[in-house]
Amino acid sequence: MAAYVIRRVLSIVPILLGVSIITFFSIHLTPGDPVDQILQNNANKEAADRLREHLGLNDPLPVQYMHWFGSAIQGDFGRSLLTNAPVSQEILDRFPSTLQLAIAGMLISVLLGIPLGMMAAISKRAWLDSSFMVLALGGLSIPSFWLGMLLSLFFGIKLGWFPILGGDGWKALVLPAFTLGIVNVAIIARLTRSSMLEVIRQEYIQTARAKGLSERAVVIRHAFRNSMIPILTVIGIQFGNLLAGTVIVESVFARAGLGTLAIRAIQARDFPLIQGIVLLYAVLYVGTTLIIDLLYGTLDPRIRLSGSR
Amino acid sequence: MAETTRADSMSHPAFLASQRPRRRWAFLRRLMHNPLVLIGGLVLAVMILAAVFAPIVAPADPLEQSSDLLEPPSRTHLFGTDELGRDVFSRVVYGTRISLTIGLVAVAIATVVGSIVGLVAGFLGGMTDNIAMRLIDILMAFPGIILAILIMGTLGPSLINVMIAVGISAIPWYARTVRASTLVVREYDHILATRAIGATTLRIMFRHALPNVVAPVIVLSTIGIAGAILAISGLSFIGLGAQPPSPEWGSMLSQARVYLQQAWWIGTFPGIAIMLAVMSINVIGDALRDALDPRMRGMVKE
Amino acid sequence: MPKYDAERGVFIFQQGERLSRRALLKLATGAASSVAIATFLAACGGDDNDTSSSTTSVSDGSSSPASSDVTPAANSDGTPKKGGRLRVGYVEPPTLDPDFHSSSSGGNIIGMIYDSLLIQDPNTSEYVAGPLTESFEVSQDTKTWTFHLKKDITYHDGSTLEAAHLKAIYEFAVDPDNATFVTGIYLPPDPTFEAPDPQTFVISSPLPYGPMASHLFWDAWMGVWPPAAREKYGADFGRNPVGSGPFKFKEWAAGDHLLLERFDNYTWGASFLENKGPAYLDELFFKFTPEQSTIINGLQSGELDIAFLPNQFYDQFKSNPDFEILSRPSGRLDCLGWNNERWPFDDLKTRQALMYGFDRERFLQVMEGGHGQVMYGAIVPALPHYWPGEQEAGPKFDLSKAKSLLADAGWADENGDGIIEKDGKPFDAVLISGGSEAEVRWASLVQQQAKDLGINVTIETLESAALTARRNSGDFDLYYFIYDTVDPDIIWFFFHSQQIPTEGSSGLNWGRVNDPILDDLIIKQRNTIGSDRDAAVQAMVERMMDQASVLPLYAPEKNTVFNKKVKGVIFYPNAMDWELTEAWIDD
Repeated sequence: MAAYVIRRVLSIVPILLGVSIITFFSIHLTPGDPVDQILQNNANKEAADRLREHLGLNDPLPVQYMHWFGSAIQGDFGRSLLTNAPVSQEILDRFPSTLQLAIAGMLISVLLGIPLGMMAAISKRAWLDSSFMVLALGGLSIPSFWLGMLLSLFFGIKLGWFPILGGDGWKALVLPAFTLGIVNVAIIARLTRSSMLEVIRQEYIQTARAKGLSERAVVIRHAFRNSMIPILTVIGIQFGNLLAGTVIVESVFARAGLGTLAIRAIQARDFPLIQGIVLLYAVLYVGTTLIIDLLYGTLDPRIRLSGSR
Repeated sequence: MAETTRADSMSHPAFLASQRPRRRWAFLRRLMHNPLVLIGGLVLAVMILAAVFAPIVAPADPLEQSSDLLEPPSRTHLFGTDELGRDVFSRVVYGTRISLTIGLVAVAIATVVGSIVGLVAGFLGGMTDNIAMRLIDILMAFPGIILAILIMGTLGPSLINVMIAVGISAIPWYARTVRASTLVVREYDHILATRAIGATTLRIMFRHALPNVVAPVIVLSTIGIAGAILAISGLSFIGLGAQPPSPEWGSMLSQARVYLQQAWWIGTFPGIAIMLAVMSINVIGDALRDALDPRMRGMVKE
Repeated sequence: MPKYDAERGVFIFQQGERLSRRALLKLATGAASSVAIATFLAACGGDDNDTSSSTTSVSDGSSSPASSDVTPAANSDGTPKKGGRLRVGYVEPPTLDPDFHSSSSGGNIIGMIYDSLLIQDPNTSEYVAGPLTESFEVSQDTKTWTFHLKKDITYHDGSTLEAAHLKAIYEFAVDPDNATFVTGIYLPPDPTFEAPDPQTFVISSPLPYGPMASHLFWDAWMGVWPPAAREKYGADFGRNPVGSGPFKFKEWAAGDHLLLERFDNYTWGASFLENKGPAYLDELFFKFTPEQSTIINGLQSGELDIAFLPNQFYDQFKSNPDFEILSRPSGRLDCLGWNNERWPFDDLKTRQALMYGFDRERFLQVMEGGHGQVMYGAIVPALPHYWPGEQEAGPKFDLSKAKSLLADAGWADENGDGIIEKDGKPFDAVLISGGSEAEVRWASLVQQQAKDLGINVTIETLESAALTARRNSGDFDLYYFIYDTVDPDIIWFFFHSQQIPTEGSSGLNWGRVNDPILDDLIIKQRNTIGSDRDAAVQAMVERMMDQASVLPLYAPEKNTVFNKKVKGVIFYPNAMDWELTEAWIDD
């Protein structure tokens, strides 16, 4: 078991390395110069050349990468080219907001998805079952930014129930979390439904029925509890998708998160900042899947032994 | 990763392989009985027809501007006109061509490349497998939008490059799925037997293993088309989508953002179109998945 | 009335004094050479700017053009109340450092924190002594400007402002080792700064500098800070700005908002202000909203009080009784730019033909809902030394004329495919543009109108950095050219051959205009002050028209929308800046 854990943890390193190298070289090779972005209408040759030299942008690429890598290992991720603030500070300032949003979004997906899936699973009529699933599917099919705008318009402006411009407090989180979470409702609902259907068929449920427990008790106590494992798995995996989704939602609701920072950084070719942000996303994704894997490994011994994953 | 190992532990492809002829009819019939699938199929059929017969269906040239700016829906303009005086209905109709094509091409890229990688990795195993899966992992660790921006930045803006970018981001899912199925198939008796008589690896891979992994790939692809359509509209949101004045639904939505309150029709109709297209494809995909393998219903493959 | 000091040959201005043409002529009859007079007329920034107030449309009957037409109507009713927070929808600036920010973002915030030497009187559009200045003099040869600073001006950190600080910070700005890119480029070339005593500051330059007044006005570029503060904060000065303006920096939540609070010791507001300080408002809250539609939503939901209004939302707010719209003069010009170095735009006759080929009215209608003015020349009315004759002289839209001129230039549709050809090559052009909704809309208009001329335009939308790189590389034919500024000297940045971007080196002359005669005219207007400068600017505009260096389209109206309870906001006529010392909230 320990060997498995160590093997899995170590496998992260080459992935992160690969991500940072690919990001670094691809963003440098993409046309676009951070100096021009910083200067904008103040661009004139002398100022631009001076700034380029000052920022070390004239060195050959591998040298620039090694320079970044060397500092990064020690925890110094450099300074943003655009704002001159330390990259770690820029990211840490915004990370809590994105994390809040992602977690709230996940909560919404779960709070809506599980009941929907349950109702679909236990419904006797096929059309009812289908209806629930279609409802869930609707959330999956709508472009998130459009949904966000519609929700802002309706609940924010027309009804005035919730604020629509970022900020603190749980009220400001409702509309963005809903926009983000609704995409995953279908997935969770579907999974809940099928897991429950499976479990309902199994023998020990029959036994419980035979014992005379009410249908409801059967469902809630046994079926539900046993279908949680795959659901938890999916939650972990979808978290990665959720993080990607925050990019758009943050933009629509003017939230100060990693997503908007990432967009700005890429548009400005703010190399150190881009490196830092992409690395963080990668760590989050890889870390989440690692944890899921390890949990899964402990829960289901068959997995640990099969396959090289 | 987690979900593919779970697939390993279920022996569905073997069952399928042995039951193939009878099963085919059964699954199609089951598909037909589901009213949802019928509706989805109908919607999709309408869209495909609209795409093919666009010049006949659309009353106006989707690119033609006029001085009737921001007109609400009326008899002459079913969906109203946009900020340049163009007929929104015609644009939505022509948009079906673009969206369906994009979806198909992007998924085709992902399927072909992903399947090859998955097959090779799964079949050959060892070092090849390791390296391939590491690369796939690296690809997966990039947040989708950022990966797309990086690719588009390098390739330049054009519809083809958008398809490539979306296709590339989807490769990991196909590679993983195919690999998982390949791993299982590799151990089948009839495959082992074929190996025993000395058939080359390549031959085995394509003639014997490939047909067995088709089922999950089909399901993935169907749902993938829907995902690709959504992904491209998301890219248009950032301004990386189809080039103007192309009537791509996503870019129409993006342009309509600022007019949401004063001219709701500019964005609502393309938005509904995206929803209908994505939903109908998803419904069919779901049904396919249910029909091909009931045990796969719980899998997360999009 | 200013005093004429015959000994030194200069006019001395007291705080608040302005020079009207008539008064000056009166003095002139008894005074020295007409050169000195002409010099002073220009030193005030030209009083012909009265025309700018009358040509701009003012909405809601805010007030009549002659008087303070840039303040909201309700300024006179109700006594200003102290207190309150003004919430502004704005784009996040990268820094608040006057030496290191791009001029497109943050200027309005930075301007609140710092003060300037000169200021523009909203009533007369003349440049007069600013918050820091008691009086100033311009030498006869206009190369030396002397400023007499007010006493007892303090910075936000408590220290007292001295002339030596100005010398230090402007020298810092022009020192190449500091790699600054703002302040220095707007100061005269090869300047010398002196501070003979704590209340006197002198700027001199080897050549007269036409834009001096307009540039010195803008506190976001020229704002004064204590050198000790930069020493203390070093590279983080941009996040911890210290100035002497009516509002001081309080907090900056990255990505979310910026908060400024009232500087209670402020009492040195400009002379024309009724309230010279401290400000009425407690706080200025800038909420960062990158999306235009989000700003509009924020205003409607009541989370924002004021924002700059894109004209396509004009009607939405006009009909809303809770809001007021304020028009202000526009220093902005939208043009169709072409690459003068690349075929077929390198052919003068082709370019001249195209000057007749685009329907400016349609552009104005589709882009700004008609709010603004079509333009035929490269300088807009709000800028000093604007030549009104350019509207008459410029080429008007005439499709048939354009087509016949194209034919004269050798173009014809030989193969009947709707695209004209010359020397066997079809007229294909690549238009590069950003991906924002407005830019896409604009590009689509160009494409459509070009089609009517027989030109095949392909649009390529690029994201920000890629767009800049592409523009610098010269690998394109058409682009969306906009400027938004305070002085005609802007032409130097965008059209002088020295500014053509080259391999690995930036420059703003994306149109790659390389015209030695134009170069000379640009330099001439830079080094001229007074009514001579009028003529110099006119010559420059005429040359650009003649050579079809760029195609001016329209000057959009600049509108600000705010909740009716906000009062007392002042905008300066050059449209770049606002004044919030007198702003208050009527709750």
